Amino acid sequence: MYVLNAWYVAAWSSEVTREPARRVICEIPVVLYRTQAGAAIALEDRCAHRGYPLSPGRVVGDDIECGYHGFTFNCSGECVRVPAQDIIPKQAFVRSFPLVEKDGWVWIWTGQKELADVSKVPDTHWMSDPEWVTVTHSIPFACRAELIHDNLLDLTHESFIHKSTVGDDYIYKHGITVEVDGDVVSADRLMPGVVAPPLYARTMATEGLYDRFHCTVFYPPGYLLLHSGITAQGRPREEGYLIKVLNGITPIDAHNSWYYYAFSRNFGTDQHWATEELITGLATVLEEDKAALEWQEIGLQSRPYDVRDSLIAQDAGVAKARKVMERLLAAEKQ
Amino acid sequence: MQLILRQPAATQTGGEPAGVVVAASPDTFGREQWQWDVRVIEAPDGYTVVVSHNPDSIAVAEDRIEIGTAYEATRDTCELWLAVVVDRAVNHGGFRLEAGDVAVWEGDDPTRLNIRAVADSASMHVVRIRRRDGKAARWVP
Repeated sequence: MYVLNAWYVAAWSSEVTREPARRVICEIPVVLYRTQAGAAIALEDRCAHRGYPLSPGRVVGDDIECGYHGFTFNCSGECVRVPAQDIIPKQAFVRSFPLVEKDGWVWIWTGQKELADVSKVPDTHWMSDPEWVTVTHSIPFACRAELIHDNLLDLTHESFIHKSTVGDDYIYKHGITVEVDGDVVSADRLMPGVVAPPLYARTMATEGLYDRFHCTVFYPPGYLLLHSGITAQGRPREEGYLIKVLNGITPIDAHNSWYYYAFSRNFGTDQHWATEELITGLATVLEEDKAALEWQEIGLQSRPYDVRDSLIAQDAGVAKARKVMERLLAAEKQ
Repeated sequence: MQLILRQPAATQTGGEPAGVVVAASPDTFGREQWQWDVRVIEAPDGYTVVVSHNPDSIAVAEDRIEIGTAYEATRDTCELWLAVVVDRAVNHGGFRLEAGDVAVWEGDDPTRLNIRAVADSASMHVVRIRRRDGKAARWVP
């Protein structure tokens, strides 16, 4: 079950080219390509003829030609050519999907077309803002998307999973403020008078104690924005070294997800060594998350149906996000 | 732990009593033995707060507080406090709470409350929940 009336990250802009690319999003096969003018197109990746995927075919002009028998579809998904006959069957069309391309990501609307509201594509401007430098990764996780949501809304796992990079025991010792505003859930933790996390300390050129903070904001169903950083003790957050971690979480199916990741920082922006160090260090962080969540997925698949999680106060954001997701899913069922 | 629920965010309920559940223990139905829940009913003349609890295990105290300019209080870490803003807005820390918004505090962070009316005055309904066995009352998500 997926919330379909939503924008999900389908790909990086750089991944959408004149060569067709296949993605599966919420169990829907999608082929992505670009027109001659450079517009990104998303069509159902299943030929109307006999179900062969379009992605192994080729782009001809602004259309895509099926590699099996040459059925050709335009950007709207209408069949415009059947090589073996002059008549095009009425039912020969494939579904097309609204797309928005912004700041390096291509967002896809998987639900009812008439409900696609471009204004609801989340703010990701840090990825293209020259005042910020961004490190990116994208990794398929063999786990359901909800586990990644939970992981980002309860960052106490950093104390254990990410000890050598962004973790420290002081994280779980500090409480959180969870805010629920409509469908948006945030979990905020302020950690006054602590050392900077190991991965950032050298890049930030810091010594001594700072106020560290991280606030995860969940924009359901597929985007989580983490506002993070350190600032001098007692000083406002906006004065500090700031990090925005943009997380596009796109379900592939019930047990697999795409994780589109962008880490933007406003400090050391001209230090290429720092960027290189972060590329490696953040890849480690993501691999640690991937390993943990894939083990959790295995654990959940073998867990008896009537056994439930034993949530604690630190899971308040997790619990509230789950309720929002339940509500959104129920609304789409009606 | 601090939980801020904006007015539309609470869980809608059917049946009696009416209103929306803004906090409960357990929060997930059927996992643990029911202890308490707090509902808010919106009426044309404001908000009414209804607390239900298991009197064998839970003690509840409630107050309607008229805030002139500020309300300061210290919460025992064993207690869970819940405040429903019933009339006009208040500020607490970095949060502005409008009428119908709810704040829940439990555990050791924060214990000191310093709530200020945004204008000249405001009203809150404060619910204090304590376990009879002396253990800490928690909001179980």
